[in-house]
Amino acid sequence: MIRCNTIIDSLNVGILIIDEDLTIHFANKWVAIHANFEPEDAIEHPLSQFFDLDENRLKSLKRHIKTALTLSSPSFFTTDSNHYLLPMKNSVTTKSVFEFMQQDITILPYDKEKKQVTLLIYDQTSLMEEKMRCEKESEALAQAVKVANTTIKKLETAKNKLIKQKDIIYQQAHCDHLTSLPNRTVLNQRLHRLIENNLETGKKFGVLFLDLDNFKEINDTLGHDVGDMILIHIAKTLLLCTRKTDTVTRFGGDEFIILIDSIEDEETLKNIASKLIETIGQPIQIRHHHLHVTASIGVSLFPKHGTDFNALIKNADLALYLAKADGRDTYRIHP
Amino acid sequence: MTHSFNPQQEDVLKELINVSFGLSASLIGDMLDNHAKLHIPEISNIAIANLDKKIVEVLGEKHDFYLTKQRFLGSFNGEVLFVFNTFSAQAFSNLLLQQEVEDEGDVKASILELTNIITSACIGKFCEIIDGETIFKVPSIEKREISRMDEYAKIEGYDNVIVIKTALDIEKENILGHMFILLNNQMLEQLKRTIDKL
Repeated sequence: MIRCNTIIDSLNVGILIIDEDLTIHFANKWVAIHANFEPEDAIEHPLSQFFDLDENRLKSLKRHIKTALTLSSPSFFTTDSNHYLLPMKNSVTTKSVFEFMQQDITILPYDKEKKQVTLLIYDQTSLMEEKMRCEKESEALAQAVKVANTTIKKLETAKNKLIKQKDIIYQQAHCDHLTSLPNRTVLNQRLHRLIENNLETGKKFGVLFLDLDNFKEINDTLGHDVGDMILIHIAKTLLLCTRKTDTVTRFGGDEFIILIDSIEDEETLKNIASKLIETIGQPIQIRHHHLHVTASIGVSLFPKHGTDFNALIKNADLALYLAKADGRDTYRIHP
Repeated sequence: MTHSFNPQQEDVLKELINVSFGLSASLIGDMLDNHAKLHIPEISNIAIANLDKKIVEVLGEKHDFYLTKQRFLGSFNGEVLFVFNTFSAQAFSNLLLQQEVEDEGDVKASILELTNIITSACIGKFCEIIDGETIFKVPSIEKREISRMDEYAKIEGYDNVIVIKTALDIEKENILGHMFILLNNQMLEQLKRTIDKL
């Protein structure tokens, strides 16, 4: 024979039988202890005598009882949405955020004729404490992640800004602002590197010193803006007529220096110089002006005409002087 | 694999749900001291893999919604989900508590009362016809965001979903929700066999 009363009184669940008028017909030990009354004293007494239920909770309880009895099915109060139905002092001994025990309550039809239901009351306080702690922690974590993300974003923006500024500074230091060609600094670096490398390997390279013919006149008659556009056009032409491995630089004013690496002999340089003279000499139209711009080129060859920066530039310049003296629109190799 | 209902089965199912909706509407009307009408349900059947997509589809717009979940165990077992957009949830809560409800706990409690009734009535009816037994687990409710659907844990252990549109008219309010009954293949087949015999 199973002693049901012993089991019922030892359960860690509150059991309360009430009717639709909220009169108590049974309370197990768990309910009595938590609500501070003797089980037998509650029988046939109204629920309100032992529990201080506000109007909303009373109405809600009556609705739940009706649902359970009508549908012969359980009806539920959940901690998540209601926190508690029957105010019972929280029995947790540590400091709690909850004044009252947090409850899940299942209302089951008990006696449909007598309109009685059973309330099964589960103490969910510890669970809710844990849940709230977790929620607090996740909120703090989410906040920390948000702050971290904002910081990362700011750092990324700053980094991008720095990269952009670095690029700008590099451009300013190494490029000619008008034609975007490498400037004298780059020429200096590349020419030194070429000398260094080719001294070891014994390979040849050429230095082409190009100067536009009568450019001052163009500037004086058509204006500096047209002159600038011509310089841009020449820069593009030089890039188109040379290899990617060659170095085209603006030396200053209307002077350009081109480094032609890995050449077999002087003939190659002659061909390149000739091609440049011919291409530059093609008629061009800038704004409404039909122009015929020509250039002269002086050529020096490494190592024949020099094995250092100054000698190579100086000898190419001397060859340029010869080309100018010979009527311009031509090239000369340093003798 | 989705086991769709044939037109006859769908008619019977609709009739069964309609009966339980009638009972639910009467109880809901009592709760609200008002006349409540649950429309004839629109039913469809989808594979569980399409559940999230369907939820997004029925909600229509990208806003928050309430999701209730309740398992039922026994010879007839599965899970019932309800989805309400925040407007419908708020409207029902205001009607039930006869005031402008501001506390989210009150909104959740109201929705759980409503879904408890419809779930009990419907699943109770299914149990009755298949002569099965079931017990209900404690339901849960949470507020979710459509935009974060991918982050929520997926429900596993089922194959099919019966989708039931629940439109409840109370006073001038139209409370629109969707009920999703999640069943595995065996349960769905059992339900269909029973329906075929009716």
